[in-house]
Amino acid sequence: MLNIFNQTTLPALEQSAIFAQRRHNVLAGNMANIDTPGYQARDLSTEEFETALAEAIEATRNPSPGYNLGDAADVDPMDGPRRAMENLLYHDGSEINLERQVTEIAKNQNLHNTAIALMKSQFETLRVAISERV
Amino acid sequence: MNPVSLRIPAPQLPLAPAVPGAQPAEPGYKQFADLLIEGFQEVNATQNSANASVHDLLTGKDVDRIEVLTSVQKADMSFRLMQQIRNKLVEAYREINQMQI
Repeated sequence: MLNIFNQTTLPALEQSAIFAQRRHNVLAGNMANIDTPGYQARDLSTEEFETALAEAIEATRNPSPGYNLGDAADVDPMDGPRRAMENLLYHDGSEINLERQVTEIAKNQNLHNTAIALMKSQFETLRVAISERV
Repeated sequence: MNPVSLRIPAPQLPLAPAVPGAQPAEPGYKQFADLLIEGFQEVNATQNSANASVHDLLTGKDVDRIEVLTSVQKADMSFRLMQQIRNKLVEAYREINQMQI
């Protein structure tokens, strides 16, 4: 299927926003369990996600030589980042550092807000391109 | 605005007819079509670099958030300007097309 979004940054932005959302859930879970004895703090690896996303972007930019429209429907380049979101990291030691968690949540929220703001402007640009007269 | 800038006879104005292969009437004057194409290419380059900086930001490279946001907004603005110029051109074409001779 012809996808007008493939040439934009929208797929990457979408995955980043989803990643931020999931990471927020995990971090919020840590906060909720701050008094639970023996609880191990969990996290999602930003490095792993970023590496997977970089690979996915590279794959979209330079499709493999055997690339045809039939393959495009089957192989989603964003599968890598999606898989990277599923791996939970467990931190050693049961001590949850509240300040660290709060900092991580704030950073994560910052990423989420940036991704949403960029997404909004990308959609607006596409809308202008489609509607001819604005 | 500087009044002098208004009086510049605009060397980019289309003085030569836009016949394919025709040479510009005077050296230093550009074909209108070339001017447009140059502008489009510039808009395209701005958008490509904005997209690249967004990707850099998302993949954790060391880029300033504010730089990314401004470059995206600049690309958006130049695209809108291009769109409005195109609208004006199409409008002018329609007007000329409907003119009674």
